[in-house]
Amino acid sequence: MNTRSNLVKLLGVCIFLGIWQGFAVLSNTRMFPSAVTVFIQLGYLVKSGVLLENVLSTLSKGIGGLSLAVFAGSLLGIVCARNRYINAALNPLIAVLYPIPKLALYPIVILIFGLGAWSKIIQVSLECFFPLFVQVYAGTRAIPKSILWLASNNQVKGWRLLRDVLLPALLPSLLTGLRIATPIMLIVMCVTEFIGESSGLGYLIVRYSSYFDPASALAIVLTFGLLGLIADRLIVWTRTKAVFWEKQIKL
Amino acid sequence: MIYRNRRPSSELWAITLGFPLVLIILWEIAARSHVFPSYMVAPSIILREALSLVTNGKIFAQMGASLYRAYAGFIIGSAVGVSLGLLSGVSRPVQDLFDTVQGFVHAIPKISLFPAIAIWLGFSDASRIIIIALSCFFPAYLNAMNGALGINPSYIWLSKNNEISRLRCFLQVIIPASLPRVFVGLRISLMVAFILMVATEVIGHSNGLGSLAMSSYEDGQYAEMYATILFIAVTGYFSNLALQRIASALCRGQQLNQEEHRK
Repeated sequence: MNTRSNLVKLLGVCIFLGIWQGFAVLSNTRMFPSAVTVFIQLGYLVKSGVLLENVLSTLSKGIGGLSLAVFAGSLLGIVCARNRYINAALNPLIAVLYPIPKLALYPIVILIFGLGAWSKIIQVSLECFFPLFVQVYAGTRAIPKSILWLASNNQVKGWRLLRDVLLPALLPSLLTGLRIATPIMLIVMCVTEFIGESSGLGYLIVRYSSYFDPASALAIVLTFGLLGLIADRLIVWTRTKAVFWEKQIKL
Repeated sequence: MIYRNRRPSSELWAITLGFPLVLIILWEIAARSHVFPSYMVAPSIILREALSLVTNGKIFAQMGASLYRAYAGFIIGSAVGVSLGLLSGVSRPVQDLFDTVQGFVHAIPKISLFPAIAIWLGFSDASRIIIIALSCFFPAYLNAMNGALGINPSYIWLSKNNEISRLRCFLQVIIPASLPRVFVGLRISLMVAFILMVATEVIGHSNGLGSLAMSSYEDGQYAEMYATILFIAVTGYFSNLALQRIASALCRGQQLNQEEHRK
């Protein structure tokens, strides 16, 4: 049964690549590169070092924004979950702002922070803050009361409460939030690099497209996919290692 | 932990309404007294600009163009996503067939395909709708699949016991039972559709709300830019509200049915 399911999975990949290759061979223009061409181009970009340089440029900004969002999201999430006055002030505001595309604010962010790296970092953290806040808030709210009572009975307060009780208890939801936020980070990095940048993967895609070189552009798109996939697997792996007491729950 | 007396919730309501109000008033004062730089326009001026955009009708053409793209992409992407997702939830081979490809393509930020698709189709409505539909497909697909996989098995046993045909079981049992989860996916898809509506309009010159915001930024018309952002927020908010209304209308019947079963 298991081998059969693996065979079908392989068949799915083969059909996908086959359709792609078939279309490319039939259309027979440079504008529609085949799968093989794209992979060759990817290999060339890796070998020339262009890819690594731009991956690092994109990731350093993206991860910077993401860590800012993690910090702000966990801080406000915990504070909102613990204090009902701050909660009453902030939570409805955040709920209203959540479904709005924050990318529309990018012009304002550019005005304040300029076209450099900071506007991108801030834009990423603006967009990633919301899922992280929602998850951390829900996670802190879901901590069993008995655990908190046990802590307060033992006079655990402040920093120790945060480090030994709150953070481990909300780690699963924080990682879930991170899993939602990472693809958003890649999207925002891509769009902001399309608009005004001279390095990074998004810029490379626009440049190769304007050179009418879709094979290289698609190779970069594939790189984005690989990055997303690796980040996702990494978060799931961290979760199984760090949250070892919640084995049965599938993310 | 400190035990506070439960205060009447009206007091919390005052905080809920008061806090944004205070922020807006502070913004207004700071902008009027030139503490803020000139691009932080006062809220009252933004509102006046928004009103004038409505009264001279300039905004509606842009809004129509934007909503056409967002809804067309959303409907195409989520319709394909939900139907394939439900099929994958029901049939293991279908799920396996899509599994690996889906896992990889899902990880690609679909907006990164936009310049590549623009080589073939230009920066046109067609390429924008394709990008939006592609992005809407995945949340709809994954949630519909999980919804169909997570159905209470006793419903299916019941329908098998009553010798209902597989098609009828799919239409009358599996689809209604997975509907709540499907709508979770659709809500995410709608949000994604609005994000990409803005993102695709900002890149490559076009019409629509996103490009209006970008072009008024480039022209230094900051009041118009804020007003446009306000309109994007409002359309996004009301589209979300409409979807939630549809969801509760469609799922209410299902919950009623469940209660009837329980009796």
